[in-house]
Amino acid sequence: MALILDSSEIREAIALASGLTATLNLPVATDAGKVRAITVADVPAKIAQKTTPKPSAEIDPAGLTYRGDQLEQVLRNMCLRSHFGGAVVTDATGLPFAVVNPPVSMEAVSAFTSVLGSALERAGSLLGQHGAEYLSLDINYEEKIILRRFLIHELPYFLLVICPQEVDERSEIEISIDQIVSILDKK
Amino acid sequence: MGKIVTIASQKGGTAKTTTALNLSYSLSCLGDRVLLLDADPQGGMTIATTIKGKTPAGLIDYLAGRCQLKEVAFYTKEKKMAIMGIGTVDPDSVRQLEDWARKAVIAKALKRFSKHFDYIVIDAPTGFGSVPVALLEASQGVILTSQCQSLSLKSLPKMLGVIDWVQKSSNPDLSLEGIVLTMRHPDNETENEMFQEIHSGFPAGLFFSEYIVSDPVFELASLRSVPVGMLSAGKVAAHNYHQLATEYKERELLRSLSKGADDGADSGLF
Ligand SMILES: Nc1ncnc2c1ncn2[C@@H]1O[C@H](COP(=O)(O)OP(=O)(O)O)[C@@H](O)[C@H]1O
Ligand SMILES: [Mg+2]
Repeated sequence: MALILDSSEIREAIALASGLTATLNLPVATDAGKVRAITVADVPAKIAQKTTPKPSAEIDPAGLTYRGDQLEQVLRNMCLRSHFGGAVVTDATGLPFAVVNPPVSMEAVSAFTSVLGSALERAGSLLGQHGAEYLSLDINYEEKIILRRFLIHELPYFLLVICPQEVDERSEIEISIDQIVSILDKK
Repeated sequence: MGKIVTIASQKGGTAKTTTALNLSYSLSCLGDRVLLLDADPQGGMTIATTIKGKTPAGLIDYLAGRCQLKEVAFYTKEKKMAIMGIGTVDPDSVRQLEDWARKAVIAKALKRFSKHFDYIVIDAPTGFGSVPVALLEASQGVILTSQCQSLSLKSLPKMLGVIDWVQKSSNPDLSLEGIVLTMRHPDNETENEMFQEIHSGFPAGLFFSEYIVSDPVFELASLRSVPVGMLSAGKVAAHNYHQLATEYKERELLRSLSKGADDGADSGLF
């Protein structure tokens, strides 16, 4: 027996809500925000990691047990190889999975990713280019921020990188994305 | 022009005030200029004087012409969001407020405020007296709060009916942004069954997929009258509202895109 669905008030609410959502064209909620490799409780720990020491030597991520550590190692190796200042992998909401040398506070990184991610999507759709997935932004005279959107099982994720403006970062980013996808996609 | 969003509920104690305060804070953390407006004379949202400054003046004093906007709206320390209290509350001023509501004085003031912000988030009085209805008439968005309990859920049709009526009679721009489930206990089996029924029975997207988990830190924050994010013990709870704010922004974006697709089909950039 249903707990609430049989009650007349709830049936009335459903009828009214159907009318309202039809006229409003409410977007259907996705579960995107629910698929996460880390839990809410992990976030303060992530914030504490802000002071990750500069990488010194490349380590093979496959040798590490935890997915978060593997991801972080991929980012660290990438930064080391190409002299990137820092890198972050987040989900669509800006929640970080892995962080290396974030340029600003993690709160700001999350907000920034989510704002730029929205802008990227919006711009793509305005231009009719729904595959738009790459955004480069000069943030001062020397550095730029790169946001690369990628999909795993239709769900969007973001890689955010900070690097010197004169660096050609594309191939490095594509290689690292392949590694990130294979780690995140692992069952 | 900023967007005016009213947080409403037919029942008291459904975390309306808590949601208005913490959602405002989260939106401001996402970079938006937010004004949190306490429009509930009975609500007792005593906003921390550390945030608000020492003045008891607020909305009522502004509407009475006793104060200017800058004398009643205050930025928090980090300059993230602004807050306006209800102001001097006495039996006379409460009657006055209802009168102002009916004469659209509140609506005009909100429009003026909205020039300075991206969002005005309003903590509305419980129920559907003249003040909450006037707020709905002046808003572009409404968010309802409900606990995952039968009494709270069964009070929804009345509020949905009012929203429907306001939309049809005076404010077609009003959009029901969604219902937030508050004070959830994810280990409570009855609640979880109800939660399942909500998802199977109600139209998709009516409820936000992010819900707010019950956490004693909200009581602590209420006592001190600050957003949970300002307490060191409140990081997880604050993150909960950050996620709600992010989902809210996503929904806004999706809605604007689907709207753009509808009325901009042949007016693209190229
Ligand atoms: N997620 C939560 N967990 C625990 N307590 C909460 C939560 N949200 C709100 N509360 C508490 O519930 C009480 C009622 O909340 P309030 O926001 O004042 O409701 P309303 O404005 O709808 O009357 C307050 O004491 C508040 O601290
Ligand atoms: Mg209240």
